[in-house]
Amino acid sequence: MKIMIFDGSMEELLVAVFKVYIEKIDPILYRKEDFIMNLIDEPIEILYDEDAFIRVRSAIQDKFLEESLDTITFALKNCSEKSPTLVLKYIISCFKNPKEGINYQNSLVLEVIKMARQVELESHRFTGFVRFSVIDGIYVSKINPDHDILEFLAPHFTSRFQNQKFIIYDEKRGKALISQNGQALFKNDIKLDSKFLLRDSFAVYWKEYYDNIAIKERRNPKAQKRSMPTRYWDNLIETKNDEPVAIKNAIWNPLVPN
Amino acid sequence: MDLLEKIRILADSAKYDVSCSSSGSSRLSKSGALGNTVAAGICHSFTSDGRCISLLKILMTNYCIYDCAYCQNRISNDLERAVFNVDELIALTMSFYRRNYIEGLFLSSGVIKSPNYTMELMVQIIKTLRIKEKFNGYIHVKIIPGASAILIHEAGLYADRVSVNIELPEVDNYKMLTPEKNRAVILKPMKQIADNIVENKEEKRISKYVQNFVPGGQSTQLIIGATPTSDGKILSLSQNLYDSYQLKRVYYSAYIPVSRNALLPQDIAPPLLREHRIYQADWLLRFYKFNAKELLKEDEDLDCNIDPKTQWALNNMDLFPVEINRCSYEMLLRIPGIGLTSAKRIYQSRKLSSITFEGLKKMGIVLKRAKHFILVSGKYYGNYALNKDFIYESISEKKDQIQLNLFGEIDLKKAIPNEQDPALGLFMKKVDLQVEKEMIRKSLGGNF
Repeated sequence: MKIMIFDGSMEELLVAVFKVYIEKIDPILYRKEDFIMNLIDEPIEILYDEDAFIRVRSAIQDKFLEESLDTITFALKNCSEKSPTLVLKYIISCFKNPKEGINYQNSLVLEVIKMARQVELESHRFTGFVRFSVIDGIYVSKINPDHDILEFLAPHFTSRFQNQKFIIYDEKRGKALISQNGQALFKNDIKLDSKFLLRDSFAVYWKEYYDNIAIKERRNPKAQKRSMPTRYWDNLIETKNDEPVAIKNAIWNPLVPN
Repeated sequence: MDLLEKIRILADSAKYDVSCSSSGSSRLSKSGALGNTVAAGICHSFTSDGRCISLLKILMTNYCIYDCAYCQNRISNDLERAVFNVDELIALTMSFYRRNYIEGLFLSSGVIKSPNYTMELMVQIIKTLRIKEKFNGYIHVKIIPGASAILIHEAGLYADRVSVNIELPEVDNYKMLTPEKNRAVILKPMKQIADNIVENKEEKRISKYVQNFVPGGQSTQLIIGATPTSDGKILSLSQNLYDSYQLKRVYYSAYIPVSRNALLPQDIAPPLLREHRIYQADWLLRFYKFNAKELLKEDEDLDCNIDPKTQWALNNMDLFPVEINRCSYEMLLRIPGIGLTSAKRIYQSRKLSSITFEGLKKMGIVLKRAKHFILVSGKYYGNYALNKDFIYESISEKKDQIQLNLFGEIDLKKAIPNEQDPALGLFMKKVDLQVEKEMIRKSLGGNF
């Protein structure tokens, strides 16, 4: 069986849509890193094709509902290995009837919308769950989100902290968002030196505040964990118990190639 | 006193204020300034009591000249006291904000010297933040009742949201519990702010250079369970506040005994379930187009076993069942088990094809509740033939029974049955209901 393999980007996804229609390939699509060689599947690597991309993009923009466009953008970044295939099928069913994109009785549509919501929720959560430490004038933060949300975080943080130089480092994917003067830059395949992930002296004040603002009589760890799942706690300074470390005179070269 | 100690004392003193949201104001970032605000608000962390931390909620000082019985910062309470000076508080806000710990500042304070003196200090802090430090994030400031109109107006120019806490739900409560305050003193600034917001909107329609005035609206807080007020009265007060002062939020706070005052309940667990039900009812007022009068009469309480919408529906069974494929959006919102998202989903997808029972299940409607109140393409899926008592019994969360077990030992002296007690009647009715249900089950020869 022929299956398509791509790099996870929106561009190559739309080229895959083109291939499904023109070359009549089954709509099965995997990310490169998720695909495991086996005896049955015959992988076809998607090659970026500018004409095909622009043609599909303009068709999508003309025909689809705005909700569907959002759904596609978010769902593609879901970490599930099934997500590219489902998004591809979703696009095809939307081409048949654009209103199908919000037909909540259709299992495929519902599943894609669910995936999109997961990503959307996580990227909203991470506008709050990023914690910067100041190291040599640079604001550095490490995150480990479930989904690939760095691109969705970029507009929020770059506009909020225009005057700050900052780095948001996605440890799981080896990606980083670097920003300075309101401009954003993404770097792939990097590893941040661990000495840049230490905490600064202000963490003590924040922890003191965090501990004292809770009402003891209303203790409700279940509600706390529902809103702030424990898998995120490692990177939040208020929930981790080790003592913060103040750093002085660190050398500014945090990005080393992996 | 060092900064760490001040944070400990003044955060602890601020914690009973439940308002936390950073929503309602949407402001783009400006070059040269720090920060912006997001309409939906952002939660930055969650404390061990499950509430979100969005703003740096802190008191300027917990010294207070008032002696409000329900407040832990009252003058008669023996408590560690501290004062922030302006620079400390500003440095703290700015560095927390830059590290993305918080969304902004929520400044409140005990009253020192006089309301005007306190309000002036608070205005000075937020003014310095906005003008000197060019802080462009969210600011919520508490209005001190009794402060002059000029100061209140000035606070409104720099804040995104302001609030005045009503705290006590009944006018009569004030005299006993907080002799220095009364309802009129509290409502006066609320009225002024509401009027100024309307004026400001009108001015902004004419010229875009007009300065914002409280873009995030105002909110207030009521204490639940400190006074013997019924839920019906609390909800009708909220309804009045939403209608006549255009409040964005009314917060409710389950009373936690902070005082040995004989007029207040002692050694009780905070009535969290009651607070939860009142919040649910509040949501019905704000998002589901209900009116407080429809939900409850003045002297009634909410049922702890079922949510307020189900309670309303069971009292209005003549309106049900409704056909899910045909009824209006407003009616969809009134069906128990259907929330805002589900109502929108049903509304959108029934334009494409008629809704099926399976489809409803997929969409995430709580069919356990909803099935008793709806028809799906003419078919009724509930099992109790619209019998109010049976439906109640089947969807009751049985919170009262669980709570009974929590107390463990029961004082039998207090448990002598009183024939006039309405609770006993209700209990007997439930027993009858169980017997009846059992009989029906047996006669049908199986479970249903």
